[in-house]
Amino acid sequence: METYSEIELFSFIRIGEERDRRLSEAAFKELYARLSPRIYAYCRKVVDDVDLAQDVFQDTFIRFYKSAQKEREMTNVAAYLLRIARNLCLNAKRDYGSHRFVELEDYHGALSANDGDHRELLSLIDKAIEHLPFDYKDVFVLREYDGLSYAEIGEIVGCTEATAKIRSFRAKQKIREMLAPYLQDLNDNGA
Amino acid sequence: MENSDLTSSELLHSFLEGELDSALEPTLFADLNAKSELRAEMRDMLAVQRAVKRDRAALVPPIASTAAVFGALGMSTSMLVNSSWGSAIWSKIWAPLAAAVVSGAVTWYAAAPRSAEAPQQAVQAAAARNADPAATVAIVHDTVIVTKTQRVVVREAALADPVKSVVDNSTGTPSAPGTITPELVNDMAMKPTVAPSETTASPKEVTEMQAIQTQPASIIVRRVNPDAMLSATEVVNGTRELPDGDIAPRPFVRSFVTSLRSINASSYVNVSNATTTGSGLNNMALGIFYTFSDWFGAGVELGREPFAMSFKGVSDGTTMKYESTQDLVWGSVQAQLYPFPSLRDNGWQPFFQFNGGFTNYGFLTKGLFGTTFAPTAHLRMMFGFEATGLFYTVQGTSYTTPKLGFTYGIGYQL
Repeated sequence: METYSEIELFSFIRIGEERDRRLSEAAFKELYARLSPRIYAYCRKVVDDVDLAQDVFQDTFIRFYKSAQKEREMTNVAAYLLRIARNLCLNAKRDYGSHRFVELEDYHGALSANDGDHRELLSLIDKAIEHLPFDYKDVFVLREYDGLSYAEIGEIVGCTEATAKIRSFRAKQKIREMLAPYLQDLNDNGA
Repeated sequence: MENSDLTSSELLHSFLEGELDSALEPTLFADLNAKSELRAEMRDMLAVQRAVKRDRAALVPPIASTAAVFGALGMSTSMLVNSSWGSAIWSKIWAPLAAAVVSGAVTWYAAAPRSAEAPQQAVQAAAARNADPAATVAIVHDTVIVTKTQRVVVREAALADPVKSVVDNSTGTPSAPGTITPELVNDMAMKPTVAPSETTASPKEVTEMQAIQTQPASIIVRRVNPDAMLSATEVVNGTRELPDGDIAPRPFVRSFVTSLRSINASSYVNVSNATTTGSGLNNMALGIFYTFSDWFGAGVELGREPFAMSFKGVSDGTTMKYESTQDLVWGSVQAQLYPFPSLRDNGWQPFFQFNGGFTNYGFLTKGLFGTTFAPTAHLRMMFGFEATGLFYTVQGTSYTTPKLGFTYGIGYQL
């Protein structure tokens, strides 16, 4: 199965359901092995609650498998999966309220109260991402964690390539603003 | 964003993403030369990029989530072993497993022939020491037990040989009245058929008509300590009571011993993130070894504990410093030396232990000094100090993580 493309594997899921379920399972498992880290990264970064992120992640693959059993034209399996994940994340945001999607203004207070200057850069970035507006966070994660092109991001998010590029740029600027004290120390120490 | 009307920050952003038009690069470089703020921004962005890259690599779906997905779809997860992350898991555990299997095989090979020969050799040795045709020898749980009859002859009852008060079955040689041979003392002390106090209070009383019940006694053949022998002789001569346990040293018995110990050690490598994923099985070691002699034992030990690691590497042309604390599973061969075997008589057994093994990162070695205490024949309690070294290589450069601390646990002699 390792030699097949993602589009071929996707079609095997449907063909397998009609003829031999083992083919369907094997194709799905191969796709899961290839794409699950990217989907999981997206869910973890966009949904701040770990348990909820895992629920969304699981639901994404279950829905993906069920939809793959139907006749469907597919051009980009990863983007399709990410679109399912994004819709589920938006549903979660709607269902569970905004407390899981903290506003930008709360960030500095949370940082000074809980973290201090010595916390590792990675966990600070994680927190900064949490505090990005959803549109910025969405594009930033799809770009930096899932490695999609701006054209692909535009397709998934429903905006133009240029808009995706601007959102990514602004997301990074905001992250830099939020981490400014820590990054200053980091640069002063020559790390 | 059209490249033609970009600000300096936007140019930098496009450049770091590899999307800047080459015609605009001179403009960016000129800005970088002129503006220290832009240079600081570039450093910040590079730091963020590096951190995100590390974070991305660490984000893997939990096994529970994978099992939930496949369970919901009515599939098993077994085929995923062939997948990329299945291979990744295997790559982490194969070295400890291989080390454990190889060292276990070596230990078994070394131990098995001895176990098979030991009883027979012991029987022969016991028979030689106890040239008594009436003696019987049995092996119970690797312990040689000689059963023989200890005849105490009362003068009037021993009419056939009135001068002989005691006959030692092991030699058949009569001793002078009132004297007791060392071998006999030893045997009696082990499990006297006549209570020592009765014997020592007044040996002459034996000459009176008394019905002394004699019966076979089970005694353990053991190496006789001359000092203990002397002590026993004094007792027989009526100078003082026989203290239990002073007669002969605690016997050495070849055996397998299992151990479970906790490790409390600190890595002497500075990392900014000392936390690990944590686990109930962390900082634990499970071992089994075979005691070949009263001064040497060997076996295998498996464990899991965190190691702080700090190293540098080049990724995409950028030199990066990595810092992490990893929970590593290790497998090792271990050797134990017992420098003071005589202390075993009191239940204590100081030991040195040396381990050599592997983790998925590289070679691991351990040195321990401690002591065990055996409150019962099978149970052992252990405490000691431990030094560990993890040696690994990244991109041709060698690194070491030293750890120091203490360890404590329990053992069971099988």
